[in-house]
Amino acid sequence: MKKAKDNNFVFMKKTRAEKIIHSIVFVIFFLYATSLLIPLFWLLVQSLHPVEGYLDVINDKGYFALPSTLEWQNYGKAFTIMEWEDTNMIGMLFNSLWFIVIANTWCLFWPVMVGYIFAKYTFRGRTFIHSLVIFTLTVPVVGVTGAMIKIVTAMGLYDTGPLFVITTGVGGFGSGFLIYYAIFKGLSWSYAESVFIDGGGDFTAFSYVMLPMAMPAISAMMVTGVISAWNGYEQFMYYLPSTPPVALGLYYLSERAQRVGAPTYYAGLIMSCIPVLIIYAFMADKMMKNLTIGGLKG
Amino acid sequence: MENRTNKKPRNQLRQRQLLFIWGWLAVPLLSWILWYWIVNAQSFIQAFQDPDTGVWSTINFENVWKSITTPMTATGAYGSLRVALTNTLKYFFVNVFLQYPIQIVVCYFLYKQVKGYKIFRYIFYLPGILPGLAIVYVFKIFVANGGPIDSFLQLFGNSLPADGLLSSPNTATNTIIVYVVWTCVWGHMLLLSGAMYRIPVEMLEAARLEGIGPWRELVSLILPLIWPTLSTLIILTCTSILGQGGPILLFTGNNQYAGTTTISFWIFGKTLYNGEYNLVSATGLVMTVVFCPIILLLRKLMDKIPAVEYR
Repeated sequence: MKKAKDNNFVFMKKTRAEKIIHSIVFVIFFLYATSLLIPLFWLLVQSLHPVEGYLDVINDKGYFALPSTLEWQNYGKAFTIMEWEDTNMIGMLFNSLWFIVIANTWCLFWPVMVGYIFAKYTFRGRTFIHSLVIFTLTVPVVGVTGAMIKIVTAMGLYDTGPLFVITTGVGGFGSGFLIYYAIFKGLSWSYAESVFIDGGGDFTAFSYVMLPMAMPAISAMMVTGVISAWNGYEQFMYYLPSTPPVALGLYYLSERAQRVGAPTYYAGLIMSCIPVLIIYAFMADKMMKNLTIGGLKG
Repeated sequence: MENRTNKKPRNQLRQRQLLFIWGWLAVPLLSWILWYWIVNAQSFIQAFQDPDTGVWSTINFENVWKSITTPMTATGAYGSLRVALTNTLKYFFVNVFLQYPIQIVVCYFLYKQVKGYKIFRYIFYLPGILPGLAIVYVFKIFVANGGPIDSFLQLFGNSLPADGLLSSPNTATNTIIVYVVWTCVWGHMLLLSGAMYRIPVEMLEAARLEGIGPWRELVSLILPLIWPTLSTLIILTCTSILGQGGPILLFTGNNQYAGTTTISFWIFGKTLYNGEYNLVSATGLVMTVVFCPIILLLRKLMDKIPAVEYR
C-alpha cells in the first residue's frame, strides 16, 4: 500500500517548475548532509591517530592531518583505559543496557496501556482525568527536581540503580499519552468486538489484536526510546550518580580526554555512536512513516 | 458463533470491563499522583520555606527577584536569572520562528521525494540519534581559536577571537544557537513526516490536476492537513518554553562566565551543584505563574484555527 503511494505519479512525475526547485533543494540538502557527516568522519580519522605525539601532529599539520599509521588498537584501549571512579567502559555499557531494557519494556508498557484504555473505553472519571492530563501537559512546570530528589531520598530510592527506574518509570500521563492515545484512537474497535464474540476478554483483545496492530507505531516509539535512553545522562546525574551509563561516562571523561589520550577518547565517542547507528539503519523507514500525535483539545 | 452478551448478563461483563480498566489504571494513576502531584506539592511547600530553618518565609522569592533584577553581567554561580531568562527566550523564538519553518520545509521536500531523499532522511536524523557529546565535542574544536574554521578565516585575513567563540558572553550563546539551528532538522521530523505520509494521495493528485505549484501545495494543502499535528507540537513547545535551550552543559560546562545559562541549566546547576532546592522551587513557581496564562491563551487561539478532517 505504502509502496503504491510512494510510486504515485504525484511523486514520480514532476513538473518543470518542480524539477528546478528540486534541483536547488538537492544541492542545499547535499551540502547540509555533508556538513553533518564531516564531524563524524573527522572523529573517525582522529581516533586512528597514534596517541603518542598526537598534539604535535595537530600543531604541525592542523586539525585535518591524516594519521601516519592506523591505530585500530585505540578502540581496544578505550575499553580498558576509560574509567570513571569505579566504573570502567564495560560497567558503563552494562548500566546503559539495563537502563535501555527497563525504559523500553516496563516503562513503555504503562503509557501504551493507559493510551489504549483512554482511547477505547468509556468509564466514570475518564473525561475528568483526560482533561486533567491535558491541563498538566499545557502548564509549564520547572524547578521540581529539588523536591523530587528530597522525596526519592526519603523513600530510599536515591542511587538505587534499576530499582529507581522501575519505581519512577511507571507512567502514562506524560507527553507519550498523546501519542499512544492517537495510535489506538486510529484503530477500529470492530477487531476487538470480534474477539469478544469469540469469547475473548478485554486483555485478550488488547494483547492479541489491538497491540499487534499498533506495533508499527509502538516500535517506532521504542526505537526513539532506545536511542534517547542510550544518549541520556541527566537522570543519572540527578538520581543515579554511582551508575554512570556510557553517555555520562564519556561526558565526565571529556574533561580529561588529553590525559587518557585524545585519539583513545575519540575512539570511545565513535564506539558510543555505533549501536544507535545500527538500530537506526534498520528502523529509519518505519520511524518516519508510523508516528502520529493526538490533539490537545481536552 | 454466539455473541457472548447473550450468554452472560450485561452488568457482569461491564464489571469485568471496569475491573480491567481500573486494574490497569491503578498503578499509573498512583505513580502520577506521587511523581507529579505530590512532587509539585512538595516543590510548592519548599518555595515558601526558609532553606536554613525550614520555617515559613518569603526569602526565596526575594532572592528570585534579586536574581532577576541583577544586571546582565553573567557573573556568579550559573549566572543571574535574568541572563538565563533572556537566553531561554532567545532559544524559544529561534525554535518557533526559525527551526519550525526549516523542519516543515525539509520534511515537505523529503516527502515529495527530492532526489536522494532516502539517504538524506537518514543523514538529517543523525544529530538526533548520535550522542550529543560526540557532535558538540567536534563542533567545539571546529569553532575554537586555531581550529578549522579559524584556519579557514585566516585565508581571508580574518580570525576568531583569541579565546574562541565560547568563552565570551558576546558570542557564546549565539554560537550555541548556531549549533542548535544547524542540528535542528531532525527535531520534529518523525511526527511531521508521519503526518505528511498520512495525507491521502488523492488530494495531491487533485491539486496536481488543478496545476498548483509547490509553494501553494505546501501552504494551502499540506499545512492545513498537518495542522492538528503541527499545532499540538507548537503548544507542547510553548509548554516547554522554560526548558528551551541548547546543550549548555556540554558546551560551556560549569563555566557560567560565558553567559550561556538558560532557565533549565540554571535550575540544573542550582539543584545539582549548589543544592539550593528552595530557591529553585520558588523560581519554578514564579515562572509557572507568569507563563501559564500566556500558554493557556495561546492554546485557546490555536484551537480556533480549524483543523481539516480527513481519514
